[in-house]
Amino acid sequence: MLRSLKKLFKSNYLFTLGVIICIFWILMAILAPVVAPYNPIEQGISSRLEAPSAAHIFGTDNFGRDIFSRVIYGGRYSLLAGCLTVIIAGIIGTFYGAIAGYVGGKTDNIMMRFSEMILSFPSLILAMIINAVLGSNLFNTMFALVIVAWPTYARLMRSVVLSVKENEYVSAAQALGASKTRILLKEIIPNSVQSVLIMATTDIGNQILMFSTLSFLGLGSAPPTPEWGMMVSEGVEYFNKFWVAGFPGLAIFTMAVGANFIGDGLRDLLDPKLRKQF
Amino acid sequence: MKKKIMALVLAMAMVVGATACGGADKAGSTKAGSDTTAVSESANGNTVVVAIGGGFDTLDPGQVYEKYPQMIINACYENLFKFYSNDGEAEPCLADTYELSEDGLTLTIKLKEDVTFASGNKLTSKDVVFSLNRTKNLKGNPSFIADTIGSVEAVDDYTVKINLTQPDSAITSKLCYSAMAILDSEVVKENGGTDEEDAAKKDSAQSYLDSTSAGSGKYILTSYTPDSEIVLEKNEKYWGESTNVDKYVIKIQDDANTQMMTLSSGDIDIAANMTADTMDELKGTDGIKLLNNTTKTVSFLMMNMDEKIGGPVSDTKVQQAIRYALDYKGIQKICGEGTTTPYSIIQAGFFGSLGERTTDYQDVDKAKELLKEAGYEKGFDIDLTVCDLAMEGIALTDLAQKVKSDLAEVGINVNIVSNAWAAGYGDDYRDGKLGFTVMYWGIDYNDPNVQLEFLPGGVVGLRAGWTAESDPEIAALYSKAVNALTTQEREAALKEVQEATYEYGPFIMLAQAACPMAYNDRLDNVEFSDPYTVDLTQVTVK
Amino acid sequence: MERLKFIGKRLLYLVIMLFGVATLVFILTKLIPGDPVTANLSQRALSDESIVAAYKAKYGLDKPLIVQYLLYIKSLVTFDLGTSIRTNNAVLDELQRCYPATIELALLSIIIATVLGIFFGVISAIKRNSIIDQIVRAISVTGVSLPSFWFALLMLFFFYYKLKVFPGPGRLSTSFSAPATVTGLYVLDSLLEGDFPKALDAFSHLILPSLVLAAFTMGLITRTTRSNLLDVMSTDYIRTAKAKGLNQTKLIIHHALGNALIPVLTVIGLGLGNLLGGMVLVETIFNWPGVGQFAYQSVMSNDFPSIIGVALLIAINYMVINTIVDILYGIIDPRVRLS
Repeated sequence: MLRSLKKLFKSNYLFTLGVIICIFWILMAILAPVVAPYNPIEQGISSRLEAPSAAHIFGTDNFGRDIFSRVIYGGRYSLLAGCLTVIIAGIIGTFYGAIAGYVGGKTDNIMMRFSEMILSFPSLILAMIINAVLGSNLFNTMFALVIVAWPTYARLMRSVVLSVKENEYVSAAQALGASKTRILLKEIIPNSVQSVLIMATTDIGNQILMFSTLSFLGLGSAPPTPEWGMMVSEGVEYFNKFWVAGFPGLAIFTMAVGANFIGDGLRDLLDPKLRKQF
Repeated sequence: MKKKIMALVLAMAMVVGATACGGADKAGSTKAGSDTTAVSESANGNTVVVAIGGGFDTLDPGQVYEKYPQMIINACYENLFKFYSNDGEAEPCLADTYELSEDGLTLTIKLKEDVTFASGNKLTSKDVVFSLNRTKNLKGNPSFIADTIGSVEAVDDYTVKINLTQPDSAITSKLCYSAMAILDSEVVKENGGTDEEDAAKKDSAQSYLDSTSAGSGKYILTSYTPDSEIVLEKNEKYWGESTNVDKYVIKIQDDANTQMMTLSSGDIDIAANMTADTMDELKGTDGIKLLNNTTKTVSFLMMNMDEKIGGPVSDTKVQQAIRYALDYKGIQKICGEGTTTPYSIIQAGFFGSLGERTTDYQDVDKAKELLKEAGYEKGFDIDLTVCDLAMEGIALTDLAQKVKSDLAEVGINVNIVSNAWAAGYGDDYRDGKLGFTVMYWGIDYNDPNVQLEFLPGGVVGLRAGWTAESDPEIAALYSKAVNALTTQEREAALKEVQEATYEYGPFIMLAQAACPMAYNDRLDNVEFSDPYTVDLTQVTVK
Repeated sequence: MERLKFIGKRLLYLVIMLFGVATLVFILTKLIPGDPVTANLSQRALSDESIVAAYKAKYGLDKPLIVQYLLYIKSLVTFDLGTSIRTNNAVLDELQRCYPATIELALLSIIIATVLGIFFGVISAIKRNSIIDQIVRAISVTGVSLPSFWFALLMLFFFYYKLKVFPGPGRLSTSFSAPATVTGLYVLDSLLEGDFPKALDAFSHLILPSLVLAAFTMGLITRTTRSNLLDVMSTDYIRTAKAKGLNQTKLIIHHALGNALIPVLTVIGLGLGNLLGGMVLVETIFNWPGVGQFAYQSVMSNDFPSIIGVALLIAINYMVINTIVDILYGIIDPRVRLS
C-alpha cells in the first residue's frame, strides 16, 4: 500500500499537485491568525472596493474588509464543512447500507426504497427546504448536506456487503456461532470499508462545492462570517470589480480541484479493476 | 455512433455559425443592433424595452401592492387623480373638477365626459363606483387604501360622491394609487368580476386581468409571463393624446448587472433597478443617460419597547445611545450615491418633511455615556435578526453588518442571525416578536400620512411593541395629523410628529434609498417617479 | 412475458416511490416554520385578520393537517397539482411553461458533455499516463470542480460583457418575440415557424449556459469512459487482438469502445436527470425561466403546491431515466438481462 502510494506520487503529477494544494489550504486554515494581515471582519468604509494593491493583495470588499484575510479564514469553514459532511454521511451511510445488505429481504427492500426516495429528490432543493425548516446557520447547512449525501454511501456499501457476504470467512464466522451484530461489525464492515473510503475522498470536493453553493444562496452561516460561497454571492453585485467575487471563487475552485485530484489518484490506485495495471 | 457524430458536426456548425453572426451583430457597435431592431420596428412602430425588478405575481389592479406593477397599471389604466410630476401634488386625471365638503367628509367629483375604455365603452360614474368598491371588497393586499371610504355613490352619469368615514387629508393621494384605478366594469363583470360585499370570495377576474387590461389608459396589456415578460401595446382608441411609443416590452430581470450589460449592448432601453456600482460602470458610456433620484423607501433599525422581547434595547437611553453610535455617513456610502438619512420618521420628499438628519450626528462619547447611565458601562451582547430582503437593491444583511461594526465601537456586541422572510421572520415581524432587527419600508401611497404608522399604536409601531398607552401624547399626534385639513395645520402637525421621534422611540431611520436608473438617450422624458418608478405614458422616442 | 413482468414491477415501484416522495415533501413543507400566508401577503394586509382568514380558506390552510394531506393525495391521484400560492396559476401550467426551457438547455448540454467526454476519455485511455492523459484528466477534474455559479459569472463577464461574442441572459434577444408554443423549445419552434434568424438567435442564447452546465457532466463522462476503456482493453480478448498486430486506434474504436460505453450510459442518464432537475444557480444567473428558477422562487416564498409539483416532476424524471437506462442495459448487454 505504502509502496504503491509512493509510485502514485511519482507517476501521477496531478495527485501530487492535489496533495500540495490540500496541504496548503489546511495549513492556511490552521495558521490563519498568523498569515492573515488583517482582521477578516474589520471594516474600513473609507477604503472600500479597492483594487488589489500592496496593502491589500486581493483588494477590499464593499465594507473595506481585506479580501485576502477573509479568504484565508474562509478556508476553515469550507474544509470543516467538506470533511465533516463526508465523515458523518459516510458513517451513517456505511451502517445503513451494511445493515440493509446483511439483513436482506424485506428490510433491505424498504430501507433501500427509502434511500432511493431521498436520492431521487433534487439535492439542492432538499437542502434548501431543510435549511428553511431549521433556520440557516453553519451547523444546519452541514446537517442538510449530510441528509442529502448519505444515501449514496448506503447504496455503495450495500452492494459491497452483498458480495462480501458470500465470502468464506463470513460463513466461517457464522458456522462458529458468532452473532449477527458481531459478524457485521467485525467481519463485514472492515472488509467493505475500503470502497467507501475511496468514495469519501472523491466526495470531499463535491461537498465543498455544495456547501459553497448553499452559502452562495444565503443559506449558510450569518454574515460577517468570511465564508467563500457567501463572499462570492456578495461579490456578484460588484461584477466589474472582479476581485471581490473572483478570489473567493478561485479559492473554492482550487480546494475542490485539489480534493478531486487526490480522489482521482486514489481511485486509480485502489480501484480493484484498475489496480492490477499498476 | 455515426448518427451521433453527424449530430456533433451539425451542432458544431451551428455553434460556429451562431458565433459568427452574433459576433458580426455585436462587433458592429450597438448601432448594428439597433438597426436590426429598427427593421422589425418598421412593421409595428417604436418599441421600447424596459427592464424592471421582480417580486410580484399579479397585474390585477385590485390586488397589486408591490413596487413595479404600479408602473404597468399606470400605463394601462387611469385614476381619478394622478401624480404628473414627482414633487407635485395629486392632480385631477379622470376627474374634471372636485370639491371637498367643509366637514371633510364628502368628496364630490365631476368626471371628464369624453373618456372611453380600450373596449370602446364610455367611462361613466358606474365604472368608478364599481372599481372603488371592488378594491375595497376584494379584501386583497391593497384594500386598506379604501379604509376611510364609507361609500361611493353615482349621482348622475358623470358625477360621483365619495363619502368618507372620517376626515382624511390624504384622500386625493390615495385615489392616485394603482388599486384605485378605474376599470371597465362591463368587461370585468363579463369576466367574473364583482364589486359586491362578498367579492373576496366570488370575484374571479384576476386571471383575466393578468392576461389583459381593462382600462382607459394609453396602453393595453397584451401578454404577461410571470417572472419573465410583460408586453404592452398602444391603445388605438385612446381618448387623449398618445406618445410615439407604440409598444413596450418589459423584461423582469432582478439582476442589476444583467440590466447594465443589456443596456450597454442596446438590448434594453431603460434599466429601472440598477445599483450604485453598475451606475459607476456606465458613467461616460456614449448614448446612455443616468438618473439617480432619492426614493421614499427607507430602512430602519427597530428596537422593541417591550423589555421581555427587546431586552437592553427596550431602554430608551440605550436606544438613544445607539442613535448616537451609528455612522450615518458610512451607511450612506455603503448604500451608494443619492442615499440620505431622514431627519426622523417622515422622509424627505413628502409634504411637511423636515428633510435630513445631519450626517455628523454620530457621537461615540455621548453614546458611551448614555450606556453608562443606563447601567451598561461594559456593553452587552444582543442578537440582531435580519431577513433575506433588500431595500432598492441594498441587502438588509449589508446594513446589519454595518450596524454590528458601529455598535462594536461602543461595546455592544451584536450577533447577526439570518432568518428568511418566508421561513418565520415575516411572522415574527408582523407579530412584534422581534427584539432587534433591521427592516425596510416602502410607502403604500404617496402621502406623509402613511408614515404615521410608525407612531405608537400604528401598524409598524405595534411591531416594535410601542403601544398607544405607553406614550399617549405621541400617539395622539396620529389623529391630529390625519384630521388636519388646511395646509398650515397639516404642516404643523407633521412637524410635531417628526420632532417627537427625532431623538426618541424604537425606530432609527438608517437610510433613505436612492433609485439608480439608466436609459438609452434615444428616449426623451424618462423621469423618476415615486409611485410609478417611470411614468411610461410620458416617455417618447426621439 | 418475463420482460412485461419486469416492466410492470418497475412501474409499480415508480408509483410507490412517487407516493413516498409526495408524502415526504408534504411533511417537509409543513415543517417550515414560516406561514405561506406571511410569505405571500404584504406587511399591511397581514395585520387584517379577515384577509388572512380568507386567504387561508382559499388554499385550504385552515383545515387540520391530516385533512389537508388526504385532500392533497386525492388531488394528486387526479393529476391536479393545485394552484401556486405565489403566481395564482395552476402548478401544472407553470411546470408546462418552465419545463421546456430546461429541457432545451439540458439536451444541448448533455450532447456537448457526451461528445467531448467520450472524445477526451478515449484519447486519455489510448495515451495512458502520457502528458496528454494528464492534461485531459486535469480538464475533466477541473470540470467537476468548478463552482457553477462562479463559472457562469466568469463566462458571462468574458464572453458577453467583455468580448461580446455570445448574447447575454435570457432565451431570446429582445428584438424577437417568443415563437408560438408547439414544443416549447425555442429553437425548434422557430424553425417550425420558418424563422431561421430567430432559431439561430435562440440557439446562440443556449450556448453559454449549456457550456457551463456541460462542464460538470463532461468531467464525469471522461472519467468513466477512461476507466472503463482501460478495463476492457486489459481483457484477454483485446490483448489477443493486440498481439495479432491490429492497429491500436482501430482496435479501440471498433472493438473496445462499444463495450466500454455501456457503463458510460448510466453516467449520461444520471447526468441528464440532474440537468432536467433544473440547475437552480445557472438558471438564475442566466435568467433562464426554467424549472430550477421556478423551484428556487417557490422555496423562497414557501409556495408549497409549487414545491411539491417541482419535486414530483424531478423525481419522475429521475426515475423514468433510471428505468430507461436499465432497460437499455438489458438490450445492449445480454449479460445484464433482467436480473
